[in-house]
Amino acid sequence: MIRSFLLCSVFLCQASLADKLPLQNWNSNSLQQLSAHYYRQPFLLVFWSLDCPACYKEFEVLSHWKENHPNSHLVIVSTDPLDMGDEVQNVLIEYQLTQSNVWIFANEPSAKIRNSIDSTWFGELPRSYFFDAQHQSHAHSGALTSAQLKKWQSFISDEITKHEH
Amino acid sequence: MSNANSQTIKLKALGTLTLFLVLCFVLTPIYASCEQDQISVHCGKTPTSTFDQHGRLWTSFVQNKSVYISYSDDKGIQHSSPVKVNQTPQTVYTNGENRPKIRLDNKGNIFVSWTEKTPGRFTGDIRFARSTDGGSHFESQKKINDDGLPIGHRFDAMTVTPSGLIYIAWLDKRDSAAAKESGLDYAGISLYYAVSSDHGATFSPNVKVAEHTCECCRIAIASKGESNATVMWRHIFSGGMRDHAITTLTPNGASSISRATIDEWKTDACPHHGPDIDNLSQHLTHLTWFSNGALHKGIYYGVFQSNLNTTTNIIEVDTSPQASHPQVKQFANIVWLAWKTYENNQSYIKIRKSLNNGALWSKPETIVSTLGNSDHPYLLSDTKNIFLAWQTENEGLRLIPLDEPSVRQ
Repeated sequence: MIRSFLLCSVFLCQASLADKLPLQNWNSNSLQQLSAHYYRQPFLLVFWSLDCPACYKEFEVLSHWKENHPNSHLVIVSTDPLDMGDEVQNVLIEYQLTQSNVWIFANEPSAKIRNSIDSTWFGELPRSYFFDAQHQSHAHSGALTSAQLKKWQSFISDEITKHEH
Repeated sequence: MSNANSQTIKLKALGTLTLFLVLCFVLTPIYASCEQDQISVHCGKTPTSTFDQHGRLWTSFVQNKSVYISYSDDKGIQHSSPVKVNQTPQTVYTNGENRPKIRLDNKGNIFVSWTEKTPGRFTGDIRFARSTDGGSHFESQKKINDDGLPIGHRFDAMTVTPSGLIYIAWLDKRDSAAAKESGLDYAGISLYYAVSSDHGATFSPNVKVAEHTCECCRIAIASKGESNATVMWRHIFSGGMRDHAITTLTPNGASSISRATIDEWKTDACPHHGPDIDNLSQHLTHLTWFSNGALHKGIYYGVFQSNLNTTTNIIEVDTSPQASHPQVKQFANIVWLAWKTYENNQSYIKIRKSLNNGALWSKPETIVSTLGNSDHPYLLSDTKNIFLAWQTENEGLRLIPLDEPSVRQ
């Protein structure tokens, strides 16, 4: 009985969070909008999909990093079809990545969206872009490691220090 | 002008108009847009087509948690009322790389395989059903994976040999799950298969082909000789290289695996981008594949020589980053390649052909384009022609003959 109640509570809590999670539609203009939103601020842009085992490995690392660095900007974009939005939200909730800026590919050809981000990206996942404060980016294919994120965090801190001086 | 002449001209004009309207009706695909709940090859997900020996086009597709089949006797202009394959609704994998397959034997039996999504992450069961009455109804579905585990069995691939054997191969997580249960690291998953020698009434126990395969790319399979099959897949070789392996499946087991491509793609990313094959002879197999490796980046073609255990005639098909999902098919002494690409706000299907078994190739030629979303392209043939099948959001499923340039759209 108690177990049923707890399970029910967890389910309702997840459903409620999923309702509130602002999953936005990422289209071929979204990177420009994002760049304006994070004007002169570094951010990490990560692409993933539900059917990508390596993406979940990366989420474990990202979740830990985000927990320790809540003020660092993390943008997570699912490349899944729009009708998979509920499942996408559930995974983000499970990995406690709901405090990130979260998106899902809009109903545009995926090649068009991909091309608007990076004309050299073949579509492999996960795919990450480290944007510095001037929004010059460095791309990485494959799961990010704690060491990469530590290095990135150190770089961000240096940039903030430089900016403050 | 006399009344009689005037009447004759009016009748001729009416006749011409009628003929025009009849031609419009016959030649225009019956597709305008997908209304709600309309079950159709144009509206369903991942339509996959094949011809039977009499030239009838058969298509499987997924809609409303069901796999359907439909046929066309006029090369895809009109399609029959769809028939449901699975009698109870289930979630079916329908991303471009993981989709139901349809094949027929030379007795007219229809075979459909698919992957059912089961509860959990990356989980599924390989399903199979057959129709022995020309597609009027399907027998109860079978589960092909026999380990009884609620784990990943996905990315089914099916072929039927000239002798009537049915091979189904898939990516299987049982070895990875066992290793992880023992606390051991395990790269990738495994490739298994089963074979039926009684027209799909029963299947053999599952047979392991290889361990340490990539988890998320389609498998390529083609019949070889009278009773065997060739299978190619993305493998995880030593050093984490996600290049391709190839082997032969027989009713009695699988041959040892060979390395089919040396691209040196060291990555732990998911390419979602499997290869395609077609057999030219007992020892020669056409290959096409994608890699982003140190040696090869883009879409490639080669010929695997099983007697020499090597791939030759390797050419760059298209190295642009938007080129994807290639297909290869041998038809009437010509080898055809087709793939999808994206330029100037449109998706295109391009082809190249070789008249000398892959030694020399024509330049890329654009066949068809679309502005909206689109599926992967497929090559298929009846006894007279080779076709491109391509479903697009705006135009539905199109069947385009490749060897009749005047018919291209």
